[in-house]
Parts: sequence; structure tokens; C-alpha cells
Amino acid sequence: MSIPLATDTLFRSFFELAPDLMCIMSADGRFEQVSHAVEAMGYQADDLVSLPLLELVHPDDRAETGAGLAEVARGTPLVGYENRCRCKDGSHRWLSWNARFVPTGRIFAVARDVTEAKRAEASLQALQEANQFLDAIVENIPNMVFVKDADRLAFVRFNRAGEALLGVPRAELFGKNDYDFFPAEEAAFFQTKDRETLNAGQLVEIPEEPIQTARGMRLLRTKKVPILDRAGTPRYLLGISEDITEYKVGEEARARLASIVTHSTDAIIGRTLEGKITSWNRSAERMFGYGAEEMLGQPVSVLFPERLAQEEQLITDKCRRGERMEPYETVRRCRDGREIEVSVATSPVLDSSGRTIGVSKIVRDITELKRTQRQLVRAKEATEAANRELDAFSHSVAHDLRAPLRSIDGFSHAVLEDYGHLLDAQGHKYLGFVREAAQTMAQLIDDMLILSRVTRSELQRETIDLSELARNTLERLRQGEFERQVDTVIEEGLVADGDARLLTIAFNNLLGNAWKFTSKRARALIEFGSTSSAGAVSYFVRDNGAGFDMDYADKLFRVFERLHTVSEFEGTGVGLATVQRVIARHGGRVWAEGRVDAGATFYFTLGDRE
Amino acid sequence: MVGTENEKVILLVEDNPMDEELTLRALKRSKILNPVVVARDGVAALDYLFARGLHAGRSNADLPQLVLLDLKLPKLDGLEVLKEVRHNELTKLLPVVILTSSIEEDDVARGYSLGANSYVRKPVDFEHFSEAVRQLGLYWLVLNYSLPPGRRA
Repeated sequence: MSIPLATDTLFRSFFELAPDLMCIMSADGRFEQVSHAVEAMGYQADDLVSLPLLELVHPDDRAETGAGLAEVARGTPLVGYENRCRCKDGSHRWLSWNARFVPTGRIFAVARDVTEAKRAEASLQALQEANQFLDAIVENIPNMVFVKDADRLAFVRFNRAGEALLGVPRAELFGKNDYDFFPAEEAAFFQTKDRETLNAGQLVEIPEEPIQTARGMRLLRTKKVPILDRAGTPRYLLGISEDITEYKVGEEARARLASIVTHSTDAIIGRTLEGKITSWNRSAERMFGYGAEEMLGQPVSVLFPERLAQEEQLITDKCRRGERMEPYETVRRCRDGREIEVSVATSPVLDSSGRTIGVSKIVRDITELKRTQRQLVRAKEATEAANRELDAFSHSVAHDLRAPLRSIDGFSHAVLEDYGHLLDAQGHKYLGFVREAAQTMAQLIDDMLILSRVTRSELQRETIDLSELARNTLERLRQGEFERQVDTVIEEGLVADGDARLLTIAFNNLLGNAWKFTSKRARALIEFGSTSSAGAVSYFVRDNGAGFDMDYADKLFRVFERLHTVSEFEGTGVGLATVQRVIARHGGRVWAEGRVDAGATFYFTLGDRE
Repeated sequence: MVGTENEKVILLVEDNPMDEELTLRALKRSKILNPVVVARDGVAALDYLFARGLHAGRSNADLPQLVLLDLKLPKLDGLEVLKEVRHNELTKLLPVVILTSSIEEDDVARGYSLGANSYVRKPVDFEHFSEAVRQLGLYWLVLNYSLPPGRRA
């Protein structure tokens, strides 16, 4: 039995019923019968009979289709093979073929027009590609990009820069709104601006908005745009935020620097390497008498006296090598021709690649300073001269004042010795007074000289064994009056930094006083020791002598002040003043405690080595 | 007289007549009876020592046993005198005691560095002064053995 062409009515009507193109081809691929569906391509079914299929196939697909037909003829069915076939008007349609070989030696084939599906697929793909393209842009824009839905203002899109800025992964943001992440006040502000944008239907710019992020407060410059649907209803809100925190910090720093430059009391001048002035602050105006408007662009050489013309070149050369110049003293010329003494520091101005493009100079008017310095030098010289005079004076005091005293004493003595028999007791007494007075005055001169030396001499600190100094001093006193009964207690191992000569003078006075004021004790006690409070060591000299009234303690250390009459205890009233100067020279403090007839304690500290 | 020899001259260089008087008195009290030649300024002292000027006729080999030298003197001061004395071959070993009012450390230091044999401050108290002069005389005229006059080291 052979399979006929669709000749019988039943088969024929079934053949024509299919919406797809049905065709029967010979084994070599020529149409024998084609359903009327081919009319969709502009052909009449009969037009094609006996034409080879390949005639209709797009030249690019022809070889492949031919191979496919050969396969079918060998018995391999073809399913869903797609190629392009030419319509009558010359256009091409995509057809999807199913074909099989049937035993009568023919090929049965069904072709479905998939042009629309292909087109839809292509446009979908294009859409996807466009989306990916946009995604890539949004994702990689260095600013925060976010999209919120217009209803709830919940986040629906967010980019990488946004994640980095907020420190929140986008997965946590989606579906949530500003109140979920930011302080209420901030969130309210953001949403107010969102609504404003959506209502206005146009771009809203927020020049500065602070935002709390995981990295702290940041400052954003944000643009918000509504995204409308076809009907013009806002559906989304797009936001783009730039982090301007660093920029603002830089801007503030620049403003501060500008303010410093403007208000600096030093003239700050910028110039090009060629010497054209590029900046000129107020102090420069004041100092040189030229206004900024007349100096900008002018050669800086007008400020240099002719004889210093080469100095400008030197500055330029240094700056070209990238070298700074530490402040040095020189001279500049003002508008009125006056020359002023200035201190100038220069440094190169570099561009971002490190190339020298100019010179900046800080100029300080030191005319006044130099004048003061010269005055100081003169004052110092005058002081030194005065000191030299004082030295000379001390010298002559030592020499010249003592000579007449020696004569007064010596010749009084001579009168007593040679003519004593001519004088009565009163006469002897008076001459005795004359001698005593001369000797007191001699002592006074000596004490004053020591006091002056203590004040003038340079402090030379070394390690001093105070215990030994006290022992030696007391030993010397004992040799002067070996008949006295004096117990001494010396704390061993007291060592301090001090000037040996000055401390010897102080110890002579302190221990000498103790020695003197215990002279009426049958059994005198003199102690040298130390106490410490709050880590500070104080030394003391204590005696069981005549003591003093604490009401007058503040007078103890004044020159010529005495708390005892000369007839009680001799003395000039200079010793403790000398002690006080010695201790003061050491940066220490001296004070005393005592009670009448119950002894005295003198404390002192020695300051640190400066 | 306590074992001193009359020919041993003391040169007292002193411009203050009262101090001169007191020094002579102190020497006498101490029984030091050596002849005392007084020079009232630094030039006179050097003239005497080097036998020139007023002392041109003197034999310069005849040197004093001791020079008591004040520092503050007219014309040439004591330190300048000392310097001359030490620079001269003839007198460089001459015992020179500075006897002065000054105890300025500079004076003491310069005195010794110029070769003073001793530095004694004149006490104001005459008894102390007298005692100082006595001890100086005793030491330099009696106890201390100097090179014979004219002998060079």
C-alpha cells in the first residue's frame, strides 16, 4: 500500500486545517504538495509545486538545510530545525521544521512560523543586555545610588558605593525604609525630601545632608529624581549621593588657611619662578605700602634694594631645587623708598606632581625687634659696666675703708699703750669704744662683701657632702673656742648638688649662729639633719640656744635686721640675709622656727639642678 | 732683740703713712729691730731693689731679706712690682709677702700666680695686726733660711 498525496478529501481537509505550513516533498527536497498556510508568506500553494525547498531558504542557511534534508532522506527525523525562508515579497521568515521520511519515498514536513517568537526572544535578550549594562553602571558608579518605591519609600535598589558608605549590605536594606537605619530626625528629613521630589515630579538637589553611618557622621550632596510610569505617575524615587565629607573638611581647611594667610601679621607673598607676584596678603600691604590689586602680576624685584638684586635669583634657584630657606635676616624696600629690616623664610610651591611652580615667602618686619635687640645689647653692656664698677667699688671698699679703720683702731691702741697712764678709767673706756666700733665696722664691711659676692658669683653645682661640710664647719668653730661644751649631732650621708663656695658661706653663717646663740648654755647642743615631706628633702640646723620670737620670724632674713642686741650677741645682721641669698641662688627656700630661750631651727631646701 | 741680724733689711712698700707707722710700731713691739726701708710707691720700690733713680748709688747685690708689699700703690701697683721682681734674675727669688687690706679672690689668685711667697691680710684690730707682723718677722727673718744675698739659683 502506498501513501498517497493528500488527494482524498478527508486527508486533504485535515492537511489544510493545520495553522502551520504542511508540505510533502520528494526525497530530493522538491515540493509536491503545500498547504494553503503558505499564503501567509505571500505564495499560492501551487506556485511552489516542483520547486526545491532550498530555493526558498536563506542563502546563509541553505547548506545546512540541504544537509538536514539529506539526513531526513536517510531516515533520521528532523525536529525543531530552524531556518529562514524567503517570502514572496523577498522578506524572510523564521520557520521551525519537523520532517520525516515516509516509505513512499517522500518527505513529510511541517513548518511553523517562529519569526515573532524569535523577535521577542531577541528583544528580550537585548533588554536583558541593556539591563545588565545599566546594572553595571549603577553598580560601579562611585556615588551611592538608591531606588525607593514611591509608596512606602522602601529600598528596592542599592549599589556598592552605597553599601560602602552606609556600611550596610543591600540585602538588609531591601524592603526597609530610612527609619529602620537612621536616627528619626535624619530619616524624617530624608523622607521629606523624597516626598518633595515625588510631588514636584522633578529633580531635587540637597547640597548638604548629614548622615549617620557605620563610619560615623558623613556629609552627602544628594540628587533625587522621580521615576514615572507611562501615565506620568511617580513609581520610584532615584537618589544619587556624593560623599562630600572629605571635600568639606578640605574646603574648611582651605578656608582656615586662607584666613590665616589673610590675617597673619607676617607678610605672605607668593610668586612665580619668573618673579611675578601671585599672592599678596594684608600684612604685605601694610608692610610695604602696596595694595594687592597693584602688586598681583608685578615683578617682586621692586621690593629688593638694588644691591640685593642677586638675592632674588638665589631664592629662585633654591626653590627650583625644591629647597626651603630657614628664616634669615635681610632688608627690603617699601613703596616710600624706606628700607626695613626683615626676616624672610622661603619655600617652593609644588604642583601635585611635585614640580616647583613658584615660591612662597613669609616676611616678618623685624625693624622694631632689631631696635629692641640693640637696646638690650646696650643695656646689657651698661649692666656689665655697672657690674664692673660695682666690682671695682667692692674692691676699693675692701681696701680703702679698712685702712682708716685700722688707723683708728691702731692709734687708739697706741694711745692706750703709750699714754694710758695719762687717762682715767673713763678715757680708757671711751678709747675702748672707739676700737670696738672700728672692729664692728670692719666686720660689717667683710659681711657686706660676702653678701655681694654671693649675689654676683656664678653658680657652679657639684655634688657636695653636706654632712662633711657641717662637720668641718663645727670643727673650725670649736677650734676658735675650744673651752666651750658643745654637743654636736650630724646626720651622716647627706649629699646634695650645690655650689661649694656658696654653701660653705651659708654653713658658716647657720652653724656660726647656732654656735653664737648657744654661748650662754652650759651644755650646748647643735644638730644638722634632714627631714622629708612629699618626697622633698629639707635640711635643718637646730640649736638649744637663745631662740627667737616667732612674731619676728619674717625679719630674720633681712639685711641689718637683728632680733638681739649687740650686747647680748654680737653680729652685723648680714649673715642670715647672706644665707637666704645662697639658698635662693640654689632655687631653694629657707625658713626658721624658734621660741624665746628654747632654741631655733633653720630649715632649707636646695633646688634641683636646672 | 730676738736673734735677728741688723744687716737684714726689710723693704716695706706702703703708701699710707699711718699704716707705715702702725707696721713699724708692730715690728718694734715684736722686738724686730732690723732696718726698715720704706718705699711709698711701686716705682720707688723697684728703684731701691734695682739700685737706680734715688738709689742709684746702692749696690744692687745688697738685697733686702724680706719685702712687705702692699697692693694698692701709686704709679705702679703691688702686683706690677711683684711681676718686675719675679722677672728679674737678681730678685726673682726674693721673699715677697703681700700685706694688704684686700682679700678679693682675684688679688689673691694673681698674687700667688705672680709668685708671692705669702699673702697676708692686714687685720683691723691692731693686736691681731701686731701679731701677724710678729709672726711674719719671726718666720721670714729667723726661721726661714733664704739664699745668701747675691747668690743666684
